[in-house]
Amino acid sequence: MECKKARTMIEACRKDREFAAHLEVCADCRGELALWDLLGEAQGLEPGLEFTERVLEKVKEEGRQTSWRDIKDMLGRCFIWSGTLDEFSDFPPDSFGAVLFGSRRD
Amino acid sequence: MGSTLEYNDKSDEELMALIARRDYNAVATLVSRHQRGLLNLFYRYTNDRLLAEDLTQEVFLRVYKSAPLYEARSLFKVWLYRIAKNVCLNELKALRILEKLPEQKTETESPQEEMIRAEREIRVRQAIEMLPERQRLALILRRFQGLSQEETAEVMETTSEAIEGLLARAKAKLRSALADLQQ
Repeated sequence: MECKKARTMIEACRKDREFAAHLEVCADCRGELALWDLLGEAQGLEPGLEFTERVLEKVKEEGRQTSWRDIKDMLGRCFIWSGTLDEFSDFPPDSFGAVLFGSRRD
Repeated sequence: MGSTLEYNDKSDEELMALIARRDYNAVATLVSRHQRGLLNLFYRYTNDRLLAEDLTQEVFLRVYKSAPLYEARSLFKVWLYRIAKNVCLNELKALRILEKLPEQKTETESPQEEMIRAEREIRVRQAIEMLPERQRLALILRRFQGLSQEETAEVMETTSEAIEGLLARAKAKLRSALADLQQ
């Protein structure tokens, strides 16, 4: 096994015989593994139940806001459409008719 | 909507399809599945528990918002960590990350052992924190999040060779910073 392969697979290979044999003859990779283990001393956190509930509450709040935004968008579109329909309610406009048919006052 | 227990067997991709339909049990399952990984990614990146919690929450909000547009083109984990990467690299720049002491303690240690362990842990955390952003993120994804080199490259939107380079430089710096602890 080459060092390059050993280092890319350092976690997966930990129990691998070939990797173990490589470690015995390679001080560089032993150092690599030692560093990898040392980094493990930076312990992790365990998320508490309170944290999980806070995240879920925030997501629900976002969901409620999104629903309200959707309703507002829909209402906004309705108003735009009703405004557009108003424009056509006096169709054809007087001026349009005058152009097409001429002004007939007699 | 069923109980969250029913959701435990579902894949992340199936949960995302349910979340797109605003199923909160699916959200709860996804959060419980990935919160630890994300929280620790941010904690190791920022060395600040409260900030890590806020950032984790931010990622889940983004997941929820983008669920209707989600397409399972790559591994869900890669997609999720890519969001986290964007939060780390783009949005944390403006924030000044203050140094915090580690908060976790092991109950079974004697006070002296505990002090030695805590000191070592602070040193390791500080050494990680001193790394440039991309080196730090690549190292955390590989060492702590269990991502392969290829997955790390996908998350960071770069090549596997680039990740190898980032890791090599990160490890060289760490080796030098932590030389006395390795003896």
